[in-house]
Amino acid sequence: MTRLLLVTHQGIGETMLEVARTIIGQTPDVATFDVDPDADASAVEGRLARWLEAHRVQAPLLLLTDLPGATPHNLAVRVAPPSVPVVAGVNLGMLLRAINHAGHPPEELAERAVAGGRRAILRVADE
Amino acid sequence: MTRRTIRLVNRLGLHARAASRLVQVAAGFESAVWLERDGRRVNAKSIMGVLMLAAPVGSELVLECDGPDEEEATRAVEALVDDRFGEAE
Repeated sequence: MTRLLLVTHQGIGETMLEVARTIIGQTPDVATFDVDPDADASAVEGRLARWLEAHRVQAPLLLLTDLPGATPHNLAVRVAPPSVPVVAGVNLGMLLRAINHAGHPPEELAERAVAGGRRAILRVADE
Repeated sequence: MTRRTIRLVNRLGLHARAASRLVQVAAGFESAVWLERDGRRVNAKSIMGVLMLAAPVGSELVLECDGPDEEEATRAVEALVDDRFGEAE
């Protein structure tokens, strides 16, 4: 089982995880890390690296971030080892799909997560 | 292969929690499970697929199961829908 790590702006990861719990009716193997963009980046980077390493020794990992180019994403990319894929732009569709397919290894799960996320974005057409 | 028409009777229709429960039930079977509404056909083991049906109360869906346990899968999905996905109304 691949563990999902959400590295996001403050509160987003935990809130999304709470919604996912409500929808699927169980607690998935997901951990969250909040990044305050105003905090000292090097201190946060060290804390994030230690947090990620603590998870890495327990399970294969897939890292999801909310916004490419923003501090949480940039820090996540910096500290993630090559064995931990990073996917940006997490939305509920991506998260639910990743949770439902967590039995797959990280690289394959990353592809599935991207597909799920894309599928949840659509322009609603008049029926 | 089995093919049945099912009607949603719970007030909220195929909303997120209901879709998730349906996916969990469908995923428990080896058979392929498909749902169809208004010409849109989706894999009932995919939560995004089921959500894309955007099916409200009263909707009629075609449930198609194909595989070694298709009868059991059909009965399980029908039972879940008839039970209003475990919801009160």
